[in-house]
Amino acid sequence: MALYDQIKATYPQLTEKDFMTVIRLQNDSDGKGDYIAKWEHPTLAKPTAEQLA
Amino acid sequence: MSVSVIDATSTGSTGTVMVSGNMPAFSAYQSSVQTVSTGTWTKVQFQTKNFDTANAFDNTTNYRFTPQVAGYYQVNGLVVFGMTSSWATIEINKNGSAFQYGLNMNGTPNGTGLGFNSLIYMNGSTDYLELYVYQGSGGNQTINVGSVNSNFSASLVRAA
Repeated sequence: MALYDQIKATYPQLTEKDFMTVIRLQNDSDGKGDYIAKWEHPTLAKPTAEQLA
Repeated sequence: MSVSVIDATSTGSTGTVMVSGNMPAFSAYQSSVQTVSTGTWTKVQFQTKNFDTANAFDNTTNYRFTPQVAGYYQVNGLVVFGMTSSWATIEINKNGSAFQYGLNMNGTPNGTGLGFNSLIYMNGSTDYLELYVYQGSGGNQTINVGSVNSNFSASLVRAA
């Protein structure tokens, strides 16, 4: 499952706007895959590795 | 890169005269299909060069432009997704940080076109540029390949 889908499963209330403003998922096309480059959501904590597993 | 500089003085002004051989210019496009996950800023891979006069664009590993001549560069980008309606945008990234967002031209002939142009100062040693895109369709999307659909280019227009 893609990182975006994992996060949406953890926090269904997140909107598309959130992912373009306070949250930034990024892929640098270096073979290392998607990662959380920024998490500045005002109320939701950055998900842990366990939550995303 | 060896740079020859001619210092010039004319009435009322001084500056550096550049000759074309010292002025980096490149153009590259995506020739192999790249998949972009929804909700994820993804660096665009431009694997094939139309030209690269100073060998300043890495088209195999980092897909970044690192000119070795300081100055002001006209930078342009175009990416077209096959999808016809979605939230999508494009970003020029300088030294790892967002520098400027571009425009979404939904409804271009081949899908959703994203484009930007900007004038950017580069220090001629460590500064580099990369191009990222974002799409929020809810699923994976592929970038349309070929120079007509995807292009990243830059050219020195004024020396520092």
